[in-house]
Amino acid sequence: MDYSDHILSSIVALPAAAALVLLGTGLLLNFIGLRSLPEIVWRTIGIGVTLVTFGLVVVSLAFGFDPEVLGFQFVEVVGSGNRLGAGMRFGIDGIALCFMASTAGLVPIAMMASMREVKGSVRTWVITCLFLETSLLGLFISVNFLSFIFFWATSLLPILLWMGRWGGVGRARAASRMWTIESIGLAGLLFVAFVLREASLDQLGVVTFDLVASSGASGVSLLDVSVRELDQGWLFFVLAVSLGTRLPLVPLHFWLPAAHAAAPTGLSVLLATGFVQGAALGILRYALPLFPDAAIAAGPALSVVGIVALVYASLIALVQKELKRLVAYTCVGYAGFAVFGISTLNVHGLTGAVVQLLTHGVATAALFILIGTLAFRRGTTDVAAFGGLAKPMPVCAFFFAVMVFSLIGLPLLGGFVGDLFVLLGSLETRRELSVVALMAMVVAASYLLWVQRRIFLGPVDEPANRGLIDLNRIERTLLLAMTIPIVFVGVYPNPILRRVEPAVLEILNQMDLRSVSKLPTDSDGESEDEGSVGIEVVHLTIDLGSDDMGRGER
Amino acid sequence: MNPAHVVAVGALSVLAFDLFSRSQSKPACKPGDGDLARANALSGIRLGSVAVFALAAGLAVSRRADAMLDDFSLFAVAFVLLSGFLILSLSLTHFGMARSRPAEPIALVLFSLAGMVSAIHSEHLLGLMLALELAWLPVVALISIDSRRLSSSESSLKAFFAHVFASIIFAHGAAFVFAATGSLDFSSLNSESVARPMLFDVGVTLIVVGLLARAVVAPFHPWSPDVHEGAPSFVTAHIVMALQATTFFVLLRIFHVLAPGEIAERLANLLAVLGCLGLLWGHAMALVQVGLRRLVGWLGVGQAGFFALALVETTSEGGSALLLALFAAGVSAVGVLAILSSLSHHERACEQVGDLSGMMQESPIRAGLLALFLLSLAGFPGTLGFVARVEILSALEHGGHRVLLVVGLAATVLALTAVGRPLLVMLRTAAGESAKSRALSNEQLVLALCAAAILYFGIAPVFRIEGVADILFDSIEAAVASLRVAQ
Repeated sequence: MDYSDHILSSIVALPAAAALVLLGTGLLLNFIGLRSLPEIVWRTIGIGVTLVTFGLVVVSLAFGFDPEVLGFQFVEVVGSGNRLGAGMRFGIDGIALCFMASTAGLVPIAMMASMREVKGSVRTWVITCLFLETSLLGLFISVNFLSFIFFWATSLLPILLWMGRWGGVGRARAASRMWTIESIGLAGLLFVAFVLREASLDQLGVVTFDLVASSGASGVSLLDVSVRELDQGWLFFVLAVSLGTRLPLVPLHFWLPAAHAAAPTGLSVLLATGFVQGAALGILRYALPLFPDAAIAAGPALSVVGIVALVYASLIALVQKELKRLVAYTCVGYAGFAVFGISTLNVHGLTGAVVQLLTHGVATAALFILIGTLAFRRGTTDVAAFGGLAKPMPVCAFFFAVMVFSLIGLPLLGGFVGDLFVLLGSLETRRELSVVALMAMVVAASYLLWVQRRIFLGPVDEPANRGLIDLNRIERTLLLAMTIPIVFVGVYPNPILRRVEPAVLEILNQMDLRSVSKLPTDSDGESEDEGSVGIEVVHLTIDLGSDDMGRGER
Repeated sequence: MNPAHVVAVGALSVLAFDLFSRSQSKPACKPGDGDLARANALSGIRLGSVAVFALAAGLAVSRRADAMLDDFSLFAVAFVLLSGFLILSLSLTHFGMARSRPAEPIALVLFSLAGMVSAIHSEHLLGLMLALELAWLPVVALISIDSRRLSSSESSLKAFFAHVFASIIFAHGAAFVFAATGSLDFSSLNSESVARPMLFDVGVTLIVVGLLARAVVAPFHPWSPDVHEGAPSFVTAHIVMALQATTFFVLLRIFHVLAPGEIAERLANLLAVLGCLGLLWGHAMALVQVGLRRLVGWLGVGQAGFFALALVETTSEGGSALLLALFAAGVSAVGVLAILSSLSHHERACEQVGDLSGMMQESPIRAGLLALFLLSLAGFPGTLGFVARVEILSALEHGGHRVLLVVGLAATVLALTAVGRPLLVMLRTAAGESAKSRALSNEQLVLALCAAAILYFGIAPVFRIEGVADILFDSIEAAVASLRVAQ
């Protein structure tokens, strides 16, 4: 087998294969009556595998990925069509690459952050983490709707196991809620799949869920299926709601605060990043190109939903007394802001949404780790229990401040880039709402700053807080590893933008090709001359990536 | 030689062997008799298994020699054989624990299997009725095998009444059809113009209802959860995998024989209504069950609703979807029952959902397998149950039944929520000292086979892995194609 032809599947299969080996080893040791290996061995192997996976992602994809190419790269097409229309269709674009690298990098961090909380059954936990990594990465590389659903569903099981087995107080209820809402989301995805299957069979004569046309006899893809404008509306609605359950989109968010409150630190890290990013990718990869007219029509409504989510989550966060729930509402709010960016349907907005999901994901993940360290030292996560921690824990205060500043969009930090692009996008197509969005961001910033002040500034009132020990070496390393990309993206975002923009362009071009109505180009809804939408998009991209001279010819 | 004869002879051989061994071990009151009984039990089981394998050989010979079996019958008989093998393997646990002589129960299982094989072959309504009697009556006796438990006797009685009800309905239907057409052959159902169409329509409807009543389709299901609770695991497995499937095989054949027309459409509508009823009722009731076995029973009622929906589109993709779904549901249910059997025969009883608490910690492999089987029953992606559900729902969408598709997906949400409860309970931390136990070797065999089938056939189609999966899907296609040819 030529490795270069199967880079993606090899990377994704690596953690699962390692998990199976660990499972087999455990069974073998049990069978021959030997004692299980020490916990540290299982942990080291698990973290080692995830680090190798991250290394492979960085080396194989980040350096082998051509940012000049539109569409999917490293495409793997294995096997011929079958009745189900499913199949091994893998490929990545710039968006998936960024999400993949982010998740692959955060899994070892999540595992290391969770080591203190996982007591007992360490081998099972390591296997759970490895399967979770495979399913999350599989979600990003699937270019077949049915295999996307497969990874979507299978990523849920390790999360439930992790939460249910090693979670904190209220984990049963949180897991139950999550399971129920995810079941509804899954049913919605399946419904859309059945309708698309039938449309594909009717129009193409074959069942296909592939986004990339196979080289075989059929040579067709799901993008060759045209869905009637009438049907697009409710199909887009069902798909958006299904994906929105995981994003999570207000009012489908109710499971997330409870889940974060009950989840161990490492799981919260992945819930805030890979889990959410998978849902966002579903919207970008499937909902927009497959149902472009509905997406254009629903744009204003989605914008409103996004803004309402940000305002609502910010206001709810203001009254939270528990830190994890507070940060969970931050996730809800910024997911709404990402939806607002996506709803603008232009290069700025979509690029901003992706960058925002990346940077805010990392920032909130870091906040969860910091809260985990506070909880470990202080035994509580109540906001009221803290105050003036900057004195005993200056390094912790520093990292907390960096993450909060990134979340509120301080220049030179990653969050600023995402927020800026979303607002630029909204100025082009949703000018009125962009003012509201700006105000919502101020509300969001206010509660984050309040929390920062409440926990770290002021006098140390509680005696128990005086003797708190600052972050240890491992914790500092983990947080430094998360701070570096945030600062890097804030200072020099072009490497990310160069990879994200072509993917965004491709999505918008697909929408333009398939839609009857035109993509919005300015706030008055006036369109350019015929067929100009794609060209305009390209010019906007060139403005953004000023260091990239070659792409103007595309 | 008919394969059913092979099984019947196998059953008689078991009885004869038992008679012989009893006469050899006359002084039955001495210490150590338990060992002898167990040895006899094992011998009986082995003999039973040999009889089943003999059936397979007889089947092959028969098919090759005179082409008496079409592809559909071949598939159905192979299905019944497989279920017979799994059930016999599972029954070892019961006889090992109960320390009872297994010959009569094994013979009853084999007689029941013989009845099923005959029913699959049958092309005559009276013959079919007799075959179904032969398949059912031993099962009614088997349900009450654990006579010390009140629930066992009670559920046996309920199953008996359900059987009698179904038989009466079916008999009346056959009589009406005879009155209308003058024949009891299946071919009479294909009559496009009959002298007394009203009688014919009523007769056909009664025949179908009589069969649906045996197939646990709502509202004819109330006995099923009780039987799950009262009967030993291997008997329940026999009912769920073999008996229910046989009824649907017969229904499938009848629907293919039936001439297309008004009555066929009415029956399709009836099936759609009953299917939706079963789906929602079964899965909704599963949500609130405390007993594990009753939960599986109610999930089975929901599954029967899915099977009924597949019959709505019998003539297109529904037939092959139904065959796959029967296989998926059967294997999953047998897997669940094998786990429950393996948990219940040790010190700790495992009858309630709450009894699973801490299982992930104490027996992680069995917990994982139970999760797999339950998820397959609920149609979770990555399992065979999902593939089967996709096939059925695709067939419904293809046939333009979007409402049924929505109901099916809603029922899937209910099913997933219902199985979510035991899954989450398993993840709880064990309260006290864990009792170390492991599944017996016969249970391990059943579990391994069921898990391998669910995973392989669940994942292979999603990733287009060619191989054994194609054999299954091709044989299903061939089976349905042979029915169409017969039509």
